[in-house]
Amino acid sequence: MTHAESHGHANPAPAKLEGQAHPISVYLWIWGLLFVLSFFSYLVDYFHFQGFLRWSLILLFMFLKAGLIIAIFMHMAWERLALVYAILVPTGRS
Amino acid sequence: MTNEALTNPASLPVENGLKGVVSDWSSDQRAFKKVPWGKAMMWVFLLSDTFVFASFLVSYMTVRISTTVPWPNVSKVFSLTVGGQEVPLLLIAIMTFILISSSGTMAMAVKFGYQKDRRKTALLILATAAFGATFVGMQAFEWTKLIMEGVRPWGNPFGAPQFGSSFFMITGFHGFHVSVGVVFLLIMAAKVWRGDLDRETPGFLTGRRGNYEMVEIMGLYWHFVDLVWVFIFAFFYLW
Repeated sequence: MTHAESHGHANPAPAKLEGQAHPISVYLWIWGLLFVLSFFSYLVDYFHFQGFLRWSLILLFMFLKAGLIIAIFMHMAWERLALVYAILVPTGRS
Repeated sequence: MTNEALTNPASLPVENGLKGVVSDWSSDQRAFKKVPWGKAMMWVFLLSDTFVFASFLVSYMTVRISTTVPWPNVSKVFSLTVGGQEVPLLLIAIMTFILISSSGTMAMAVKFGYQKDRRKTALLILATAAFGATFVGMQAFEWTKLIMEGVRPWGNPFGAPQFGSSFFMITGFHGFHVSVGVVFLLIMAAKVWRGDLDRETPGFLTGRRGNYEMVEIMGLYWHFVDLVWVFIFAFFYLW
């Protein structure tokens, strides 16, 4: 009884919250990760890596950054699969 | 009982996983369930825009591979001299960090929008617009610098003439996207600040009722601009 009461007090209208609701720390973490990954890809140029090492590192950091932006910032990770496939399959085919 | 499913599609059970994909697409109703139509349409637009930028990047790679003249040393062309020392790609790196930061503030604006926190949402959208405007400003600086050094769409003093045309076309198209985004961000910030989204005021152009989903849809566009820059940064500036 007391538990239910305190719960109701701390969370007056949980059903009212609609749309994408994720803790702010998720976005801050991804923001930080994107900074680190961008810094790494900058270092690839700074240290003058050449040839296949350069290209594979550039692609690796690029895909990681793109994946984080699409999945978390654009909320693709939480969308229904029907939409995810409709967008990502044609992109992958191009 | 049977009419319930006909009149109210939301009453139908929604499946998950691959089964959900099949049932969503074969449901003979809207395919994108639980997604506002504006959001689905924005995704479709972004998909088509992906093809535009993909065409640019593929044609750039094609001319870069096929040209008989050596490609300019991009790292050197875009270097800045700081305190008498040449730092490679410095401006581009700063622009990258600025655009990522704008994406971060936009993502948080969407979150606070759904929490109906008008003040924080408006301020974060304004911050996003400010980052975007800064990015465009730095791009203008970069263009000016290169044009003064003699880079033209038909030739340049550093190497293959296709460098200029690829550069102006790709970064120009991306910069245009950022500029349009900044304008729409400012409009959205004003709407949020006035409380249009809370009061569901019809928009002045489309007459659509205000809604905090609009902030997320705006955010999708903005993140896409950041996403395109990730690919341009990798393929044009670093490659």
